[in-house]
Amino acid sequence: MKLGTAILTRDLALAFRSGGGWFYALFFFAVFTALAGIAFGPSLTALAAAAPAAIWLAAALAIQFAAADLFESDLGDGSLRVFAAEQKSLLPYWATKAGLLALTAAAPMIVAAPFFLTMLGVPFGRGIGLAFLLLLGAPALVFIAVLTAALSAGLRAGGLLAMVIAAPFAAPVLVFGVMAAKAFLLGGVLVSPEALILAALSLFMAATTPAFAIAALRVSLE
Amino acid sequence: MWSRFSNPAKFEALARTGGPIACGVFLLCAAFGLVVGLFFSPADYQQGDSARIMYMHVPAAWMSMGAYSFIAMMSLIAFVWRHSLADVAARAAAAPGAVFTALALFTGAVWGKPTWGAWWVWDARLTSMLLLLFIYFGYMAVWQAVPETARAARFARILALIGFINVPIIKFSVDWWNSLHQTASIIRADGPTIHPSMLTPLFAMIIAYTALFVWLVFLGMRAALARRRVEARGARAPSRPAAPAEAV
Repeated sequence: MKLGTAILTRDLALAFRSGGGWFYALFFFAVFTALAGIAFGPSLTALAAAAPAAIWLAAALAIQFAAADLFESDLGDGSLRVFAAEQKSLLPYWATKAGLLALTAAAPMIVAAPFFLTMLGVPFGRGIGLAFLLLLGAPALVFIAVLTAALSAGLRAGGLLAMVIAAPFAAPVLVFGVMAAKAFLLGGVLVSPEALILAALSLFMAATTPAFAIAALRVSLE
Repeated sequence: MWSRFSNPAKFEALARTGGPIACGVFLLCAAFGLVVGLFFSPADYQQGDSARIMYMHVPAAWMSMGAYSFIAMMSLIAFVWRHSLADVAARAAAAPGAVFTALALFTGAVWGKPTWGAWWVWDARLTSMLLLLFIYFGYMAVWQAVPETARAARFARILALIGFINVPIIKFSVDWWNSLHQTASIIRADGPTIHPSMLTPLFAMIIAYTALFVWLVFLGMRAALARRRVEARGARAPSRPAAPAEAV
């Protein structure tokens, strides 16, 4: 646990000091939302109908991109090898990296989502509800991104490979995320069955992906 | 049972006899199924002759799932017992499985045009098949992306197993998604229960596809093993060109 906090503090310091690494995912999210607004046209009613899809696509892609070089530096300078040799389990390390991705990529987006949603014609109060749904589903996206980053760590064009692998896994999250968002915007029900399944997906990914991600990390060390 | 054939020489012997047998079963059953299915079975009373594409479509869809289950099973065997031949089998099944999936999607589109009036609809089954195809692509991409075969095999095992766990989740999610948002205007192809005159050629085609899959996996595995021997020989004597492989 001590190691976990040490790595997390180090990575957070790196993210904040190295030219705003924590900002990239948020920036991508903002650019994607703006592009979606341009692509769907200026009509605010048409935009509001497309907003749930746009926001969930933006979140999935931003988290996936942010995870692209999650393990690169630790793999490159050998510190991951040291952790793997010293620690009985890489689970604290995995939790640290998932927490890092959640703090630097997912959390800023969730906080900023209501503001961007007003650009897409969703009232601010409703936007807060959509941000809450993002909070339910974002852990699943984070766990998938960490898994695919571990599977493609140290490979050429690893980021692209991670996208290809992640697409089918992210599909259920998108399905239920957009459906829960629509249930809230059209029906006014925040905790719909779809929202509960979204949370269930996050728990399912939390339960299944760590073992596979850690196995993949150990393979990348060989 | 598995460990017996984890010896490459014993497997080679099995594949040498099993491959041609599977090929023969495929040719016989495909000939019977196609001739009976296309010429002697009755046309569907609603869809006419277009329903005959069923004899290509249903077995392809069946085998796309079967091939992935095979990959997952082989990956589990490789994961638990470290049989490297199971990795070879899983890899050899990926390309045929992906082609079966693509064939199921393509014949589905050809069938869907006259029946549903559209090449593609976001039906739950079509969508989950498309996502299965993406899983195949990801699996094959991992094998391609990692230069060392042994490492690639370990990554591929992990991906195959986590993918297998997620297939039911994906299926469930698109079922839910579709059942709320799809209008019921689509005429389902599985309206009438299938008459034995159609079921017999269909069964023959399913056996044919399965035999084709077995044959292709045997061929792919033998090719992979031969390549491995050639590479080993090249590593021992780098100056000489690689000699044709003999049985080990």
